[in-house]
Amino acid sequence: MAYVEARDLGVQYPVLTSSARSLKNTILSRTTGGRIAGNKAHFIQIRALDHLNFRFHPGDRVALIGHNGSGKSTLLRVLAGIYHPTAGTIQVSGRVAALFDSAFGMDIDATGYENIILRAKYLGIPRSEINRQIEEIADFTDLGEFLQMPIRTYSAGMTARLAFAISTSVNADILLIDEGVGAGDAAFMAKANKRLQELIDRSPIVVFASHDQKTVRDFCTRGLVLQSGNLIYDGPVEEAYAQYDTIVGAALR
Amino acid sequence: MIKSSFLDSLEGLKRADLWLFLGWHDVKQRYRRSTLGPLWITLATLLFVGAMTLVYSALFRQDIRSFLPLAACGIVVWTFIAGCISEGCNLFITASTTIKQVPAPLTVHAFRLIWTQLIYFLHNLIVVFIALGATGIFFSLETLLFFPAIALLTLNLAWMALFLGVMSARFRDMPLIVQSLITGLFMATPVLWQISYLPPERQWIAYLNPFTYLVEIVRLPLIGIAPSFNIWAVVLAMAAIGWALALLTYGRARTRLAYWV
Repeated sequence: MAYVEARDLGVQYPVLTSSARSLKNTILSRTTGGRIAGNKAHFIQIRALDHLNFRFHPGDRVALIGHNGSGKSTLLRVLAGIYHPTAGTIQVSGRVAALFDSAFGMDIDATGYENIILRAKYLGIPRSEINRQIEEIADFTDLGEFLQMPIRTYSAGMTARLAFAISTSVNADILLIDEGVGAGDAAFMAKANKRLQELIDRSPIVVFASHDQKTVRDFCTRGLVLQSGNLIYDGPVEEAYAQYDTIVGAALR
Repeated sequence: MIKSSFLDSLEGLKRADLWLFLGWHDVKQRYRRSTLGPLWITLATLLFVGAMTLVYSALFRQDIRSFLPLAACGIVVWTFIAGCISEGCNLFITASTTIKQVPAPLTVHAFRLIWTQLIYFLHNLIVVFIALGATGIFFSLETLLFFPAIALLTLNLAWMALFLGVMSARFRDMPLIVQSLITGLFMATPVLWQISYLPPERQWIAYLNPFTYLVEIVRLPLIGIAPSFNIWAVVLAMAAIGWALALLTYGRARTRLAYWV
Protein backbone atom coordinates (compact mmCIF):
# COMPACT_ATOMS: atom_id res chain seq x y z
CA MET A 1 0.00 0.00 0.00
CA ALA A 2 1.23 3.46 -0.85
CA TYR A 3 2.38 5.73 1.92
CA VAL A 4 4.87 8.48 2.67
CA GLU A 5 6.46 8.92 6.03
CA ALA A 6 8.88 11.64 7.07
CA ARG A 7 10.70 11.61 10.38
CA ASP A 8 12.68 14.65 11.41
CA LEU A 9 13.22 15.28 7.72
CA GLY A 10 15.74 17.99 7.06
CA VAL A 11 17.35 19.39 3.96
CA GLN A 12 20.30 21.68 4.08
CA TYR A 13 22.22 22.56 1.01
CA PRO A 14 25.22 24.66 0.22
CA VAL A 15 25.03 27.67 -2.02
CA LEU A 16 28.41 27.50 -3.64
CA THR A 17 29.95 30.82 -4.46
CA SER A 18 32.17 31.08 -7.49
CA SER A 19 35.21 30.86 -5.26
CA ALA A 20 34.09 27.61 -3.63
CA ARG A 21 33.28 26.32 -7.10
CA SER A 22 36.88 26.63 -8.20
CA LEU A 23 39.13 23.61 -7.85
CA LYS A 24 42.18 25.86 -8.02
CA ASN A 25 40.97 27.99 -5.11
CA THR A 26 39.95 24.97 -3.07
CA ILE A 27 43.36 23.38 -3.42
CA LEU A 28 45.17 26.68 -2.81
CA SER A 29 43.16 27.40 0.33
CA ARG A 30 44.10 23.95 1.60
CA THR A 31 47.80 24.48 1.07
CA THR A 32 47.76 27.94 2.59
CA GLY A 33 46.29 26.32 5.70
CA GLY A 34 43.59 28.71 6.87
CA ARG A 35 45.57 31.84 6.17
CA ILE A 36 42.71 33.09 4.08
CA ALA A 37 40.40 34.20 6.85
CA GLY A 38 36.65 33.81 6.56
CA ASN A 39 36.94 31.24 3.82
CA LYS A 40 33.96 29.46 5.34
CA ALA A 41 31.85 32.50 4.60
CA HIS A 42 31.96 31.50 0.93
CA PHE A 43 30.14 28.38 1.85
CA ILE A 44 26.61 29.39 2.76
CA GLN A 45 24.31 26.66 3.98
CA ILE A 46 20.60 27.02 3.35
CA ARG A 47 18.26 25.19 5.66
CA ALA A 48 15.43 24.48 3.24
CA LEU A 49 13.53 21.99 5.38
CA ASP A 50 13.81 21.56 9.11
CA HIS A 51 12.59 18.63 11.22
CA LEU A 52 9.47 17.76 9.27
CA ASN A 53 7.26 14.96 10.58
CA PHE A 54 4.24 13.75 8.66
CA ARG A 55 2.62 10.68 7.21
CA PHE A 56 0.53 10.52 4.02
CA HIS A 57 -1.98 7.71 3.54
CA PRO A 58 -3.98 6.60 0.51
CA GLY A 59 -6.86 9.00 0.01
CA ASP A 60 -4.84 11.98 1.19
CA ARG A 61 -5.09 15.05 -1.03
CA VAL A 62 -2.36 17.20 0.42
CA ALA A 63 -1.80 20.87 -0.35
CA LEU A 64 1.55 22.45 0.42
CA ILE A 65 0.87 26.02 1.45
CA GLY A 66 3.46 28.71 2.00
CA HIS A 67 5.28 31.73 0.61
CA ASN A 68 7.82 31.61 -2.15
CA GLY A 69 10.91 30.01 -0.69
CA SER A 70 9.07 28.37 2.18
CA GLY A 71 10.26 24.94 1.06
CA LYS A 72 7.30 23.65 -0.99
CA SER A 73 9.26 22.80 -4.12
CA THR A 74 12.15 21.40 -2.11
CA LEU A 75 9.76 19.09 -0.27
CA LEU A 76 8.23 17.94 -3.55
CA ARG A 77 11.70 17.16 -4.88
CA VAL A 78 12.52 15.19 -1.76
CA LEU A 79 9.30 13.20 -2.18
CA ALA A 80 10.23 12.57 -5.81
CA GLY A 81 13.63 11.21 -4.76
CA ILE A 82 15.50 13.98 -6.58
CA TYR A 83 16.84 15.68 -3.47
CA HIS A 84 18.18 13.46 -0.74
CA PRO A 85 17.48 14.43 2.88
CA THR A 86 20.50 15.62 4.81
CA ALA A 87 18.86 14.83 8.15
CA GLY A 88 16.15 12.43 9.28
CA THR A 89 14.47 9.93 7.01
CA ILE A 90 11.85 9.81 4.32
CA GLN A 91 10.13 6.60 3.36
CA VAL A 92 8.19 6.52 0.13
CA SER A 93 6.37 3.37 -0.85
CA GLY A 94 4.64 3.28 -4.21
CA ARG A 95 5.19 4.47 -7.73
CA VAL A 96 5.85 8.21 -7.79
CA ALA A 97 5.03 10.57 -10.65
CA ALA A 98 6.28 14.14 -10.61
CA LEU A 99 4.54 16.89 -12.59
CA PHE A 100 6.82 19.83 -12.01
CA ASP A 101 7.30 21.67 -15.26
CA SER A 102 4.94 20.40 -17.92
CA ALA A 103 7.08 21.73 -20.77
CA PHE A 104 10.10 19.87 -19.46
CA GLY A 105 12.14 17.82 -21.90
CA MET A 106 10.22 18.90 -24.97
CA ASP A 107 12.40 18.98 -28.05
CA ILE A 108 11.15 21.59 -30.49
CA ASP A 109 12.78 19.93 -33.50
CA ALA A 110 11.13 16.60 -32.81
CA THR A 111 7.57 15.78 -33.86
CA GLY A 112 4.65 15.60 -31.47
CA TYR A 113 4.76 11.81 -31.54
CA GLU A 114 8.49 11.73 -30.83
CA ASN A 115 7.98 14.07 -27.89
CA ILE A 116 5.35 11.77 -26.43
CA ILE A 117 7.77 8.85 -26.67
CA LEU A 118 10.65 10.95 -25.32
CA ARG A 119 8.75 11.90 -22.18
CA ALA A 120 7.43 8.39 -21.69
CA LYS A 121 10.98 7.03 -21.80
CA TYR A 122 12.06 9.53 -19.16
CA LEU A 123 9.24 8.36 -16.94
CA GLY A 124 10.14 4.71 -17.52
CA ILE A 125 6.85 3.76 -19.12
CA PRO A 126 6.97 0.40 -20.94
CA ARG A 127 6.62 0.28 -24.70
CA SER A 128 3.17 -1.34 -24.76
CA GLU A 129 1.79 1.37 -22.53
CA ILE A 130 3.39 4.07 -24.68
CA ASN A 131 1.47 2.96 -27.76
CA ARG A 132 -1.79 3.06 -25.86
CA GLN A 133 -0.90 6.49 -24.53
CA ILE A 134 -0.09 7.92 -27.93
CA GLU A 135 -3.64 7.26 -29.12
CA GLU A 136 -5.12 8.61 -25.96
CA ILE A 137 -3.03 11.79 -26.08
CA ALA A 138 -3.70 12.33 -29.78
CA ASP A 139 -7.38 12.00 -29.01
CA PHE A 140 -7.30 14.42 -26.10
CA THR A 141 -5.19 17.17 -27.69
CA ASP A 142 -7.15 17.32 -30.97
CA LEU A 143 -3.83 18.01 -32.66
CA GLY A 144 -4.50 15.36 -35.33
CA GLU A 145 -2.11 15.62 -38.26
CA PHE A 146 0.00 18.13 -36.37
CA LEU A 147 1.44 15.36 -34.23
CA GLN A 148 3.53 14.35 -37.24
CA MET A 149 5.06 17.82 -37.45
CA PRO A 150 7.99 19.20 -35.44
CA ILE A 151 6.60 21.10 -32.50
CA ARG A 152 8.46 24.24 -33.49
CA THR A 153 5.64 24.67 -36.04
CA TYR A 154 3.06 24.70 -33.22
CA SER A 155 1.50 27.76 -31.66
CA ALA A 156 2.25 28.37 -27.99
CA GLY A 157 -1.20 27.09 -27.07
CA MET A 158 -0.77 23.89 -29.04
CA THR A 159 2.58 23.19 -27.39
CA ALA A 160 1.08 23.82 -23.97
CA ARG A 161 -1.79 21.45 -24.74
CA LEU A 162 0.56 18.70 -25.83
CA ALA A 163 2.82 19.20 -22.83
CA PHE A 164 -0.14 19.10 -20.50
CA ALA A 165 -1.60 16.00 -22.11
CA ILE A 166 1.71 14.17 -21.95
CA SER A 167 2.46 15.01 -18.35
CA THR A 168 -1.03 14.15 -17.16
CA SER A 169 -1.11 10.76 -18.88
CA VAL A 170 0.83 9.13 -16.05
CA ASN A 171 -0.39 6.51 -13.63
CA ALA A 172 1.08 6.55 -10.16
CA ASP A 173 0.42 5.74 -6.53
CA ILE A 174 1.84 9.04 -5.41
CA LEU A 175 1.29 12.07 -7.60
CA LEU A 176 3.33 15.23 -7.03
CA ILE A 177 2.17 18.42 -8.70
CA ASP A 178 4.03 21.71 -8.63
CA GLU A 179 2.38 24.83 -9.91
CA GLY A 180 2.78 25.71 -13.52
CA VAL A 181 0.99 22.64 -14.72
CA GLY A 182 -1.59 24.58 -16.65
CA ALA A 183 -2.71 24.52 -20.23
CA GLY A 184 -3.60 26.71 -23.16
CA ASP A 185 -6.63 28.81 -23.92
CA ALA A 186 -9.85 29.21 -21.95
CA ALA A 187 -11.79 26.72 -24.05
CA PHE A 188 -9.16 24.12 -23.31
CA MET A 189 -9.03 24.94 -19.61
CA ALA A 190 -12.34 23.26 -18.80
CA LYS A 191 -11.21 20.12 -20.57
CA ALA A 192 -7.81 20.33 -18.87
CA ASN A 193 -9.29 20.68 -15.41
CA LYS A 194 -11.50 17.67 -16.01
CA ARG A 195 -8.44 15.67 -17.01
CA LEU A 196 -6.50 16.86 -13.98
CA GLN A 197 -9.44 15.89 -11.77
CA GLU A 198 -9.47 12.39 -13.32
CA LEU A 199 -5.76 12.05 -12.76
CA ILE A 200 -6.11 13.11 -9.13
CA ASP A 201 -9.06 10.76 -8.65
CA ARG A 202 -7.11 7.74 -9.81
CA SER A 203 -3.98 8.51 -7.76
CA PRO A 204 -4.12 7.22 -4.16
CA ILE A 205 -1.93 10.00 -2.77
CA VAL A 206 -1.69 13.50 -4.23
CA VAL A 207 0.63 16.26 -3.08
CA PHE A 208 -0.06 19.62 -4.64
CA ALA A 209 1.84 22.88 -4.33
CA SER A 210 0.12 25.95 -5.72
CA HIS A 211 -0.59 29.58 -4.90
CA ASP A 212 -3.97 29.34 -6.54
CA GLN A 213 -6.28 28.97 -3.53
CA LYS A 214 -9.35 28.11 -5.57
CA THR A 215 -7.68 25.18 -7.31
CA VAL A 216 -6.20 23.97 -4.06
CA ARG A 217 -9.54 24.14 -2.25
CA ASP A 218 -11.19 22.24 -5.14
CA PHE A 219 -8.70 19.43 -5.17
CA CYS A 220 -7.26 19.08 -1.69
CA THR A 221 -8.53 17.99 1.70
CA ARG A 222 -5.45 18.34 3.85
CA GLY A 223 -3.10 21.28 4.13
CA LEU A 224 0.50 21.54 5.27
CA VAL A 225 1.61 25.07 5.98
CA LEU A 226 5.32 25.67 5.57
CA GLN A 227 7.25 28.68 6.71
CA SER A 228 11.00 28.97 6.15
CA GLY A 229 11.34 25.23 6.06
CA ASN A 230 9.31 24.54 9.19
CA LEU A 231 6.00 22.74 9.24
CA ILE A 232 3.74 25.03 11.24
CA TYR A 233 0.35 23.49 10.57
CA ASP A 234 -0.94 20.13 9.36
CA GLY A 235 -4.69 19.60 9.17
CA PRO A 236 -7.84 20.22 7.13
CA VAL A 237 -7.21 22.50 4.18
CA GLU A 238 -9.66 25.24 5.24
CA GLU A 239 -8.03 25.57 8.65
CA ALA A 240 -4.61 25.47 7.05
CA TYR A 241 -5.54 28.50 4.99
CA ALA A 242 -6.89 30.24 8.09
CA GLN A 243 -3.53 29.62 9.77
CA TYR A 244 -1.68 30.79 6.70
CA ASP A 245 -3.75 33.97 6.53
CA THR A 246 -2.96 34.86 10.14
CA ILE A 247 0.74 34.55 9.35
CA VAL A 248 0.43 36.63 6.22
CA GLY A 249 -1.73 39.09 8.16
CA ALA A 250 0.85 39.26 10.92
CA ALA A 251 3.53 39.94 8.36
CA LEU A 252 1.48 42.76 6.84
CA ARG A 253 0.73 44.48 10.13
CA MET B 1 29.87 3.51 -0.31
CA ILE B 2 31.35 1.80 -3.35
CA LYS B 3 28.65 -0.82 -3.02
CA SER B 4 25.77 1.65 -3.01
CA SER B 5 27.13 3.60 -5.94
CA PHE B 6 27.78 0.32 -7.75
CA LEU B 7 24.14 -0.66 -7.22
CA ASP B 8 23.12 2.77 -8.43
CA SER B 9 25.20 2.28 -11.58
CA LEU B 10 23.48 -1.05 -12.15
CA GLU B 11 20.12 0.70 -11.78
CA GLY B 12 21.35 3.17 -14.38
CA LEU B 13 22.42 0.36 -16.71
CA LYS B 14 18.98 -1.21 -16.33
CA ARG B 15 17.40 1.89 -17.74
CA ALA B 16 19.06 0.98 -21.03
CA ASP B 17 15.92 1.69 -23.03
CA LEU B 18 16.09 5.28 -21.80
CA TRP B 19 19.74 6.05 -22.48
CA LEU B 20 19.89 4.11 -25.72
CA PHE B 21 16.91 6.13 -26.91
CA LEU B 22 18.29 9.45 -25.66
CA GLY B 23 21.70 8.75 -27.18
CA TRP B 24 20.19 8.16 -30.61
CA HIS B 25 17.98 11.17 -30.10
CA ASP B 26 21.06 13.34 -29.39
CA VAL B 27 22.75 12.21 -32.59
CA LYS B 28 19.60 12.63 -34.67
CA GLN B 29 18.84 16.01 -33.22
CA ARG B 30 22.26 17.39 -34.02
CA TYR B 31 21.93 16.54 -37.68
CA ARG B 32 18.19 16.65 -38.13
CA ARG B 33 18.01 19.42 -40.65
CA SER B 34 20.98 18.48 -42.80
CA THR B 35 20.78 16.24 -45.85
CA LEU B 36 23.85 14.16 -45.12
CA GLY B 37 22.78 13.71 -41.52
CA PRO B 38 25.25 11.99 -39.22
CA LEU B 39 27.51 11.31 -42.22
CA TRP B 40 28.77 14.85 -41.67
CA ILE B 41 30.75 13.36 -38.80
CA THR B 42 32.36 10.90 -41.19
CA LEU B 43 33.07 13.57 -43.77
CA ALA B 44 34.71 15.90 -41.25
CA THR B 45 36.92 13.09 -39.98
CA LEU B 46 37.80 12.06 -43.53
CA LEU B 47 39.00 15.58 -44.34
CA PHE B 48 40.96 15.79 -41.10
CA VAL B 49 42.63 12.42 -41.66
CA GLY B 50 43.45 13.38 -45.27
CA ALA B 51 45.07 16.67 -44.32
CA MET B 52 47.00 15.18 -41.39
CA THR B 53 48.28 12.32 -43.53
CA LEU B 54 49.50 14.63 -46.29
CA VAL B 55 51.31 16.94 -43.88
CA TYR B 56 52.61 14.64 -41.18
CA SER B 57 53.76 11.76 -43.37
CA ALA B 58 56.01 14.33 -45.03
CA LEU B 59 57.10 15.88 -41.73
CA PHE B 60 57.97 12.52 -40.23
CA ARG B 61 59.42 11.31 -43.56
CA GLN B 62 57.19 8.25 -43.55
CA ASP B 63 55.86 6.31 -46.50
CA ILE B 64 52.34 7.61 -47.01
CA ARG B 65 50.99 4.06 -47.49
CA SER B 66 52.11 2.91 -44.08
CA PHE B 67 51.29 6.25 -42.46
CA LEU B 68 47.68 6.57 -43.67
CA PRO B 69 46.19 3.56 -41.82
CA LEU B 70 48.12 4.53 -38.71
CA ALA B 71 46.85 8.11 -38.74
CA ALA B 72 43.31 7.16 -39.70
CA CYS B 73 42.95 4.61 -36.90
CA GLY B 74 44.74 6.88 -34.44
CA ILE B 75 42.58 9.92 -35.15
CA VAL B 76 39.31 7.97 -35.11
CA VAL B 77 40.15 6.35 -31.76
CA TRP B 78 41.39 9.65 -30.34
CA THR B 79 38.23 11.47 -31.43
CA PHE B 80 36.25 8.91 -29.42
CA ILE B 81 38.49 9.32 -26.37
CA ALA B 82 38.56 13.12 -26.51
CA GLY B 83 34.81 13.30 -27.09
CA CYS B 84 34.03 11.22 -24.02
CA ILE B 85 36.44 13.18 -21.85
CA SER B 86 35.55 16.72 -22.86
CA GLU B 87 31.81 16.05 -23.03
CA GLY B 88 32.11 14.00 -19.85
CA CYS B 89 32.96 17.15 -17.92
CA ASN B 90 29.59 18.65 -18.82
CA LEU B 91 27.70 15.45 -18.22
CA PHE B 92 25.66 16.52 -15.20
CA ILE B 93 25.84 20.25 -15.84
CA THR B 94 23.96 20.03 -19.14
CA ALA B 95 21.51 17.53 -17.68
CA SER B 96 20.68 19.87 -14.80
CA THR B 97 17.03 20.48 -15.77
CA THR B 98 16.45 16.76 -16.26
CA ILE B 99 18.08 15.95 -12.95
CA LYS B 100 15.79 18.39 -11.14
CA GLN B 101 12.64 17.25 -12.93
CA VAL B 102 12.77 13.48 -13.24
CA PRO B 103 13.79 10.97 -10.63
CA ALA B 104 16.18 8.55 -12.35
CA PRO B 105 19.57 7.07 -11.50
CA LEU B 106 22.10 9.77 -12.37
CA THR B 107 24.44 7.30 -14.05
CA VAL B 108 21.88 7.21 -16.88
CA HIS B 109 23.40 10.49 -18.08
CA ALA B 110 26.88 8.97 -18.19
CA PHE B 111 25.72 5.96 -20.19
CA ARG B 112 23.80 8.22 -22.54
CA LEU B 113 26.94 10.21 -23.27
CA ILE B 114 29.13 7.15 -23.84
CA TRP B 115 26.50 5.69 -26.15
CA THR B 116 26.24 8.93 -28.15
CA GLN B 117 30.02 9.05 -28.56
CA LEU B 118 30.08 5.38 -29.51
CA ILE B 119 27.57 6.08 -32.28
CA TYR B 120 29.84 8.86 -33.59
CA PHE B 121 32.78 6.46 -33.35
CA LEU B 122 30.94 3.84 -35.42
CA HIS B 123 30.29 6.49 -38.08
CA ASN B 124 33.95 7.40 -38.09
CA LEU B 125 34.91 3.77 -38.50
CA ILE B 126 33.96 4.20 -42.17
CA VAL B 127 37.04 6.42 -42.52
CA VAL B 128 39.16 3.61 -41.08
CA PHE B 129 37.76 1.15 -43.62
CA ILE B 130 38.48 3.58 -46.46
CA ALA B 131 42.07 4.06 -45.27
CA LEU B 132 42.65 0.34 -44.77
CA GLY B 133 41.09 -0.51 -48.13
CA ALA B 134 43.14 2.14 -49.92
CA THR B 135 46.40 0.79 -48.52
CA GLY B 136 45.51 -2.86 -48.99
CA ILE B 137 45.22 -3.95 -45.36
CA PHE B 138 42.44 -6.47 -45.14
CA PHE B 139 40.75 -8.56 -42.54
CA SER B 140 42.95 -10.96 -40.59
CA LEU B 141 42.44 -13.06 -37.45
CA GLU B 142 44.05 -10.32 -35.35
CA THR B 143 41.30 -7.93 -36.43
CA LEU B 144 38.89 -9.88 -34.21
CA LEU B 145 40.78 -8.54 -31.19
CA PHE B 146 39.22 -5.19 -32.05
CA PHE B 147 36.01 -6.24 -30.29
CA PRO B 148 37.37 -6.95 -26.79
CA ALA B 149 39.66 -3.94 -27.23
CA ILE B 150 36.87 -1.47 -27.99
CA ALA B 151 34.86 -2.93 -25.10
CA LEU B 152 37.77 -2.33 -22.72
CA LEU B 153 38.35 1.18 -24.05
CA THR B 154 34.65 2.03 -23.61
CA LEU B 155 34.75 0.66 -20.08
CA ASN B 156 37.65 2.98 -19.33
CA LEU B 157 36.05 6.01 -20.94
CA ALA B 158 32.86 5.40 -18.95
CA TRP B 159 34.62 5.73 -15.61
CA MET B 160 36.51 8.80 -16.82
CA ALA B 161 33.28 10.47 -17.92
CA LEU B 162 31.56 9.64 -14.64
CA PHE B 163 34.50 10.87 -12.56
CA LEU B 164 34.99 14.07 -14.54
CA GLY B 165 31.24 14.69 -14.62
CA VAL B 166 31.01 14.59 -10.83
CA MET B 167 34.13 16.69 -10.31
CA SER B 168 32.98 19.29 -12.85
CA ALA B 169 29.53 19.58 -11.28
CA ARG B 170 31.24 20.55 -8.02
CA PHE B 171 34.23 22.47 -9.37
CA ARG B 172 33.24 24.56 -12.34
CA ASP B 173 36.80 25.27 -13.49
CA MET B 174 37.33 21.55 -14.06
CA PRO B 175 36.03 21.57 -17.68
CA LEU B 176 38.41 24.43 -18.48
CA ILE B 177 41.37 22.62 -16.91
CA VAL B 178 40.57 19.42 -18.80
CA GLN B 179 40.02 21.31 -22.05
CA SER B 180 43.42 22.95 -21.81
CA LEU B 181 45.14 19.63 -21.07
CA ILE B 182 43.52 17.68 -23.86
CA THR B 183 45.38 19.28 -26.77
CA GLY B 184 48.71 18.67 -25.12
CA LEU B 185 47.67 15.12 -24.44
CA PHE B 186 46.86 14.66 -28.12
CA MET B 187 50.43 15.62 -29.01
CA ALA B 188 52.00 13.45 -26.31
CA THR B 189 49.99 10.37 -27.26
CA PRO B 190 50.93 8.21 -30.24
CA VAL B 191 47.99 9.22 -32.39
CA LEU B 192 49.82 10.58 -35.42
CA TRP B 193 52.99 8.69 -34.60
CA GLN B 194 54.22 5.41 -33.19
CA ILE B 195 56.47 4.74 -30.24
CA SER B 196 59.14 3.51 -32.68
CA TYR B 197 59.36 7.02 -34.20
CA LEU B 198 60.92 8.26 -30.96
CA PRO B 199 64.60 7.76 -30.17
CA PRO B 200 64.94 5.12 -27.38
CA GLU B 201 65.93 7.67 -24.73
CA ARG B 202 62.68 9.60 -25.32
CA GLN B 203 60.28 6.66 -25.51
CA TRP B 204 59.49 6.88 -21.79
CA ILE B 205 57.11 9.74 -22.60
CA ALA B 206 54.88 7.34 -24.48
CA TYR B 207 55.27 4.50 -22.01
CA LEU B 208 54.33 6.69 -19.03
CA ASN B 209 51.26 8.08 -20.79
CA PRO B 210 48.23 5.88 -20.01
CA PHE B 211 46.51 7.07 -23.16
CA THR B 212 49.19 5.37 -25.24
CA TYR B 213 47.76 2.03 -24.19
CA LEU B 214 44.17 3.13 -24.73
CA VAL B 215 44.92 4.17 -28.30
CA GLU B 216 47.16 1.25 -29.18
CA ILE B 217 44.86 -1.46 -27.87
CA VAL B 218 42.24 -0.50 -30.46
CA ARG B 219 44.51 0.71 -33.21
CA LEU B 220 46.79 -2.32 -33.45
CA PRO B 221 44.04 -4.90 -34.15
CA LEU B 222 42.60 -2.61 -36.82
CA ILE B 223 45.88 -2.62 -38.73
CA GLY B 224 46.21 -6.36 -38.21
CA ILE B 225 48.58 -6.60 -35.25
CA ALA B 226 47.80 -8.29 -31.93
CA PRO B 227 48.41 -5.92 -28.98
CA SER B 228 51.04 -7.22 -26.57
CA PHE B 229 50.18 -8.71 -23.20
CA ASN B 230 51.44 -5.56 -21.45
CA ILE B 231 48.93 -3.38 -23.27
CA TRP B 232 46.03 -5.61 -22.23
CA ALA B 233 47.28 -5.70 -18.65
CA VAL B 234 47.65 -1.92 -18.36
CA VAL B 235 44.22 -1.24 -19.86
CA LEU B 236 42.56 -3.82 -17.61
CA ALA B 237 44.27 -2.42 -14.53
CA MET B 238 43.22 1.10 -15.51
CA ALA B 239 39.62 -0.04 -15.79
CA ALA B 240 39.70 -1.66 -12.36
CA ILE B 241 41.42 1.19 -10.53
CA GLY B 242 39.51 3.83 -12.46
CA TRP B 243 36.11 2.35 -11.71
CA ALA B 244 36.95 2.10 -8.03
CA LEU B 245 37.93 5.77 -8.04
CA ALA B 246 34.89 6.84 -10.04
CA LEU B 247 32.45 4.86 -7.87
CA LEU B 248 34.02 6.26 -4.72
CA THR B 249 33.73 9.82 -6.02
CA TYR B 250 30.23 9.26 -7.35
CA GLY B 251 29.20 7.60 -4.10
CA ARG B 252 30.30 10.61 -2.09
CA ALA B 253 28.57 13.04 -4.43
CA ARG B 254 25.47 11.09 -5.45
CA THR B 255 23.11 12.48 -2.84
CA ARG B 256 24.39 16.01 -3.32
CA LEU B 257 24.65 16.24 -7.11
CA ALA B 258 21.09 17.54 -7.51
CA TYR B 259 21.98 20.49 -5.27
CA TRP B 260 25.15 21.27 -7.21
CA VAL B 261 23.86 21.41 -10.77
